Amino acid sequence: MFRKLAVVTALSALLAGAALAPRPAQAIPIFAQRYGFQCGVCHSVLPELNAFGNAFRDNGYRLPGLPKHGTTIFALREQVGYTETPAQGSERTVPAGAILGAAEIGEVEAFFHDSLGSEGGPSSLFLGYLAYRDEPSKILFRLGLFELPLVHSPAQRNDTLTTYGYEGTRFGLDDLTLATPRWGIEAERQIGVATLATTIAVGNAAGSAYGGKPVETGTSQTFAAPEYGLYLRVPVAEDVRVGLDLLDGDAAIAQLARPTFDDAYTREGVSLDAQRGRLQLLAEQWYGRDVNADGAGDPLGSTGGFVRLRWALGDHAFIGLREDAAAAPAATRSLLWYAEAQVGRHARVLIQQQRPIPGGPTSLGGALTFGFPWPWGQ
Amino acid sequence: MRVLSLSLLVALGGCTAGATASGTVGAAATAATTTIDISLTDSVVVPTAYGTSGGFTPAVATVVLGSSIRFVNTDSFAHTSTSMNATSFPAASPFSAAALTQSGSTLSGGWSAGALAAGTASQPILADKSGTYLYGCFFHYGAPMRAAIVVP
Repeated sequence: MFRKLAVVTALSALLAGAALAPRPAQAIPIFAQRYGFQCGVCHSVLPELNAFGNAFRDNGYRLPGLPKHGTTIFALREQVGYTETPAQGSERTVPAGAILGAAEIGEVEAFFHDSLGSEGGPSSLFLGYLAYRDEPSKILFRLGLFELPLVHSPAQRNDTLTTYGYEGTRFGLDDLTLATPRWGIEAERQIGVATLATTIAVGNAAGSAYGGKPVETGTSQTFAAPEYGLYLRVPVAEDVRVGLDLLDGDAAIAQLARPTFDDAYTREGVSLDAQRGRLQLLAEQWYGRDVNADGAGDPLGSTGGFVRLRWALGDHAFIGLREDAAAAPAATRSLLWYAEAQVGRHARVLIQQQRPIPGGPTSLGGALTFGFPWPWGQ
Repeated sequence: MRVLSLSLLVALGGCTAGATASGTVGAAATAATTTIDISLTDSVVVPTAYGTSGGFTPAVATVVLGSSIRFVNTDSFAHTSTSMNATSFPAASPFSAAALTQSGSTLSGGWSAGALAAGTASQPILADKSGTYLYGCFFHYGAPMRAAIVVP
């Protein structure tokens, strides 16, 4: 109890100090090197992108007209995670890292994120795509292994250590979550005030963003048919956007000693993103249906989502409260509070506590995340 | 706009429907309760008289008639404990999606703990009748993840 109190007090003091003097962040130093930026230009709190950072990403990581500098091409992001109540066989403190890479190849930007593994897990490619913005059509293309363009980054550039609500849900024997990066192609463009993105996926990433202990589950999964996705964001007032996400796919699932079977599925989500002063509200509700999630022909309905309220203490410090829920069909619901801030120019400190609803053991966690090498003099 | 935002907030409130609670420990649990640990991460595959077992510890639990059993998921992801009507472990999974919903409270009547989230426990299951009861995990049956309970 005393140790828990001490950890919370120390981290809170650290956060409070950082919040009082928020500083720019560093996340992918390669881009900062290229344009000579303070990385707080693109990041709110590492690794999350701010509005400008998202616009930069959506422009294929290009800022036409600005002078460019040499880069290291590769960078390292390291994260030390702390969990008060680790699963059996896991440690309380787990170091994990990722190699980030970016390079210009003519008009194309190559980007990748390879996890270094943790807890004895192997390294694996988590993201790896070519981004290209076609100026005449104003369409941004991503080809390779990318995240679904949901209302927020489901597994990267995230503001907590806990997957958002329904985005980490598995559906019967279908292990493909919304947070899992897909192999395929994405096209995105502005249509009037709205943003429309589409994805066609034919495979998915096998690892996690920071590695993890590998477990033989006896089940493997591929795509029986391409998965099609449609993502629409429409501003309905100043600082208020609504969204619609639609996914349609067909998984081929193989269990040991059992013939492979197909599970056709759909996922539909509606979202709201609203901001008023320093307060931001982000919420999404999903509905899903799997035709054959058990291989016995039984349909499986699912639902869930999240509501997040976040207060900006400054440009580089936040406190947030989030409720997550998912049912597929057994329900889980939890409340998460968190606080995060830049500490120095190149690191983030995060503390969070998750509590099941209606009750149960709480889980305290934290992380120190930093990236390097950063630009000279920054 | 404020009304619209609030309305949407209520509508989007992370709501779930048609769901059953999981991971609760029943008040009926007593000192005469046997706890069976669920973990695929730390699983040791062992041969038993009913076939290859793994994922549940002990692989063969012998419990007293009239006592209770509860399953505790100490793993970092979801599992079920679901009974099967068999005298040895079938080669292929015998489970359907019904295993994802919590049901049953006796060994002889059959049971499923539903999808037990990490760190949660099942409803208590009463050892109400002598016999051998086989069970497994819906998600990871082929791992293998299955075990037995014997009531002498």
